[in-house]
Amino acid sequence: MNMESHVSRRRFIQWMSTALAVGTGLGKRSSAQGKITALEVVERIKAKLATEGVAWRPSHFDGFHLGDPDTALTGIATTFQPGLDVLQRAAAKQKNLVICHESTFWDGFDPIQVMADDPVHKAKIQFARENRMVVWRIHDHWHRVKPDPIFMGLARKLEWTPYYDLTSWPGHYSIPEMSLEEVARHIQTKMNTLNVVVVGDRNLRVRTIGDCSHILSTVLPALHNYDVALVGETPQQDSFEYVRDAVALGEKKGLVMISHEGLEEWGMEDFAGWLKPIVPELPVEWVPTGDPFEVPLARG
Amino acid sequence: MDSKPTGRTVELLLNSAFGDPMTTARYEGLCAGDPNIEVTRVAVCYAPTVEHLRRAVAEQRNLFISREHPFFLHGGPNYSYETEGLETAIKDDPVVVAKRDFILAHNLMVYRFGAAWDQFRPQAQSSALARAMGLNPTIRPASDRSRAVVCDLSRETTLLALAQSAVEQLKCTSPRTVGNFHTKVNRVAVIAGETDPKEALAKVLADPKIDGVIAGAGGVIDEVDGAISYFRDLIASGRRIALLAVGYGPSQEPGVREMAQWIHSVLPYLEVEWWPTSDSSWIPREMAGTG
Repeated sequence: MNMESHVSRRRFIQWMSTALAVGTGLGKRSSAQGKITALEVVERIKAKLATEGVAWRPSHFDGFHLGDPDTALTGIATTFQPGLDVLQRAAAKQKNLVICHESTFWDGFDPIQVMADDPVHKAKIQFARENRMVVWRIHDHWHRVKPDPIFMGLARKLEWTPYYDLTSWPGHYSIPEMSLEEVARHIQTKMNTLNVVVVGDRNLRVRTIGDCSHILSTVLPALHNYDVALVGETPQQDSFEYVRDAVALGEKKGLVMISHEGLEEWGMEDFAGWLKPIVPELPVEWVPTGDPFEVPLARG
Repeated sequence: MDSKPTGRTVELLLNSAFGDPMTTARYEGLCAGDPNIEVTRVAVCYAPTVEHLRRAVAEQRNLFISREHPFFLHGGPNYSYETEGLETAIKDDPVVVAKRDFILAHNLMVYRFGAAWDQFRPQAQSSALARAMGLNPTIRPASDRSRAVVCDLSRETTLLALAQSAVEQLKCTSPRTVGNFHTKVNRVAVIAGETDPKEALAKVLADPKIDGVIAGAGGVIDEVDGAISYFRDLIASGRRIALLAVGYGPSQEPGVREMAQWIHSVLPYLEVEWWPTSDSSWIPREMAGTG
């Protein structure tokens, strides 16, 4: 989700240090030996984005986060977040460029020096190095494509594209009327996960569902304008309590929380399809990050 | 005490009870109502919900001491992104306006007492959560400012069994897990609220014998969501470990109950009662078409 407006000077300096560390810390540059490199793929992506009206601009997030940009590529994996298991699955499929939407080192800004001595951090870098992998992130620029592919991907996954209006603010779905519980079950089924947490009356009649990102200040516009807010892993201490109180005051509202992955994963699946025509010489495949949460007592 | 203290007096008494000056925290202290009203009786709760406010009026109890803010301003040093823009967004929000008007109209007061409790008793919430689940937290040195506590189990169990215990003991309605919930656990780290940011979590999990984590919630993006991503990478690196998220509110309730007992010990002349706040969330247990 776009957080450009939340960047502090401290975090920007931290991010710059990270970028420098990535660029200089992984040994000498490899020879491309005539094969297409990660850097060349990125240049093609930037060129295609430009044709779609998205000029490349400085970004706090978008860029190389791991590996040597001059690495010769064997294949490309797109994903939501480049977790170690994603890197492992990509490597097994001979995909050594991972293009992701979210961070590599567990923070939006990837300040790798903070965790430099951590064994998991080291293991991740070592795995990437041994498998000659590169991670490049596209967050802000993918959100800038119109209509936003991240939200369009979610609509596709929910099979609610015909009901979706991204021209409104916030974007929203006008669905055939159903109960809040039926909404939650629909999302569970389409996303193949039980991890759909709800606040509100099960029997609430729902006709409209509003987009939001992760925090209460983005949940409020959705709740003010629509029946239900669909949010990706929000802080429970404010969003859940707000909806509880709204319902207690007689508001006919509900909140449906899915994982951050569940909200945004599908837009990176679509990125693979967007990318394939401009890198015909390489296999391109979406490697799902997957929902981190399971619901253990589903039938208990 | 001959006369009843005001809300402001209660605030001063509680803040001085620890003996050290409290670090100023955002959104703490008396944050709703007239602080100069005399206190009748006190309700201590996790969140001063509309339901609690109505009950207080019915029971002539006019001071809430709560862990969370009445107008959803959580704040805190690690939550700048969560709080960004929220003050402006809620300024004229109908729910906030209705709560504020109700509090004023009924001479209620809400005193948020979260950061101070955490500052002087950093492991109190996590220790209480552990005890509520029948676990015995290891005593840690006073110099240890970590929120997490570590518990050695009397006998090996699974994360699934701990989830079942959480449902029974904490009345949580949406427990979730990260990793294989059949993982056998012998030593667990317990963290009330959201998991620690990744650096703090990594420090806790540096103990290789920890094979389970019980937390309130996974959290949102950046530092805290990063903790769940870090945890997944820890598993992918070969560590046999799994995490149980019992829900943010349910994870704080045991600590709030103990906080109420402590408050009563500081203010013995006031009637102080713990009011549990139920878990408001639910998860459909079977997907459509699979039942």
